[in-house]
Amino acid sequence: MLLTLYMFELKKLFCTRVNAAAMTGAVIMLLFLAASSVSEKQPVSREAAGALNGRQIDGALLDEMRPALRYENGRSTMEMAEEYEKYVPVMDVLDVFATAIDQDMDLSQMQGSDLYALREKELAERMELQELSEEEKAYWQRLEAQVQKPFVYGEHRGPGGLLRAFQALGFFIFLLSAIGLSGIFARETAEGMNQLLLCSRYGKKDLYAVKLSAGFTWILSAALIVLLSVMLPYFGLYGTEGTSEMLQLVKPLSMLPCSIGHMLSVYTGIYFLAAVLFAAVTMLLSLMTQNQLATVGLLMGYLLIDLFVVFPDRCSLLQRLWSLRPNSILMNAGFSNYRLISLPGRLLMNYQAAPVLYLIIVTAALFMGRRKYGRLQVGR
Amino acid sequence: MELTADRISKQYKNKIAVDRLSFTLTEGVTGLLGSNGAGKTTLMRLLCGILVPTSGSVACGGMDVCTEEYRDILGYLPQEFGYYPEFTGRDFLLYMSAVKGLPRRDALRRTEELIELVGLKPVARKKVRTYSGGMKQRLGIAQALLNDPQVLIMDEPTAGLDPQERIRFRELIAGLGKNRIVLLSTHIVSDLEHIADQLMIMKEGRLVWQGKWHAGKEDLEAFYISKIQDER
Repeated sequence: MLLTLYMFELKKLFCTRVNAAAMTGAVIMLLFLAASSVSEKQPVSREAAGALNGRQIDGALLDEMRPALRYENGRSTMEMAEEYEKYVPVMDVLDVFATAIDQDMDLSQMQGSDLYALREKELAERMELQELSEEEKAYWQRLEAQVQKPFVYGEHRGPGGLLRAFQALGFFIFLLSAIGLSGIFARETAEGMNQLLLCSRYGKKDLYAVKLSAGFTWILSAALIVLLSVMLPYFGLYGTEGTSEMLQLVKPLSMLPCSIGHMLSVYTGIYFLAAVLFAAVTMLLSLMTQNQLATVGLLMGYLLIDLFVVFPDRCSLLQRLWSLRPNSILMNAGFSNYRLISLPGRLLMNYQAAPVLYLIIVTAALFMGRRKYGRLQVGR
Repeated sequence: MELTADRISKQYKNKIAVDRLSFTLTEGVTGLLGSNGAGKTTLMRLLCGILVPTSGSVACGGMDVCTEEYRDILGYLPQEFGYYPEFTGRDFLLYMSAVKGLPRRDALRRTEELIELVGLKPVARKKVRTYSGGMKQRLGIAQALLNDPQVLIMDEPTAGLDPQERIRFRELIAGLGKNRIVLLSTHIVSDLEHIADQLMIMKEGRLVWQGKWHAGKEDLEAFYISKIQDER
């Protein structure tokens, strides 16, 4: 019976026109986003990029590219002569490097060692600015020592593009949660169905758990569909190779000695956990406010705060907590935020602390919701 | 079985919707009459356990109305409620069967029986959004009967029904009232005249009259108006 009930609750969520339209809209927009991101790149075949696999990004490679490197208007570019086209994938990496460290970097004059010295200087400055403790600095230095230098190029545009797309994914899953789940409890009140449900055998207790299960199923399905709508174009065009390449090729300021694939799996996990977190909070608000519009309004208010509120570096604790919110992590901000969360006996990076925090919030939301649902009345 | 209300009250801020009512409902049809705002709907919600009284208690056969056991034997038709427009009529009844805890086989059987009973068979597989007001009302009546309830509470059940449907509905209720507690409220006095065994008349949250009603002995409409006017 509860399974039948669950299937009907799923039907309510999946067959609602607004939800179907929101899901379709999100997929179309993400496909468009992936397509536009792909078309912005300079056209280089996978074979040409593959030919550079295993090359160290050092002085020797820069010397080979130097005749084509230009420094104009405070920006380094590469002349697209035929014999230098094969270096475009490396130039993409150097562009990312310059964007992260110094926009004005003149690559045409730079030696290989300069590149890494600049990075080291930037890392030291950021750690000072973020007022890291000696313990935290030592923690990062231990990890940084394991990062291979010079960086080694490997074709990575598929997984690399996907890693960068997670920010948009986080934003869309938040919107889908707000649209799809804001009415899960509120709609029953608005349409007067609570009168029937709350006086039915399973309506007072079990229906809460069934609705939650259906809500989580909806958001996880939406998260999967949205992820696939970005993953397929990237992997379709560039292939899946590159998951074992070093993370620093896409995030040069990261001191994590791990691969892009490793970080992709971490991000995927956090993305799905964030979806569960958004769903739990949306459903709680739907239950508490008993009003779909109010729920959406509260969530949009949070989104504005999320987008525009930045705590200054001197507000260390607030910044630490604020940096754990899903959009901050999926925005890749964590790669240049070196503050750690200190727990008795160990230090946690934000990728490690965030899941713990999300699970605590989800558990609290479910508990509060259960309490509220048990006390729900009609026509108060 | 008896449904007993013991000095129940419901107060909203400075308005008393139900004021210290005590009564016992037994098997048979009880009609609840009262003008708009008399507190009929609030009273019915209290009897269904979906609204907690400010004071007093309601119990049925020793069960508190907030228990799962009571909800298991209860059928309720509210005055107004939305139907899931994306469901078909049949889906709606199957969904309500699941909420009421009917095993799948029983749910399918009862759904088909009740679709037939309320005359919705030709439209059972159509979306509820295409139904007329009368069809929705019949669907509401069907859902209230799904679990073969021992206590049936219906708030304005004949609203939206055409005269022929109202006659059919009256016959149905008269039959159901033989071995269960049926409470139905209406402002259409003639709906009760020939089927009610007992009457309760409410005004401003209070019961102004309750007792047995003998059809044909007196004109119900005149009786009702006289009782309401007596209170002025």
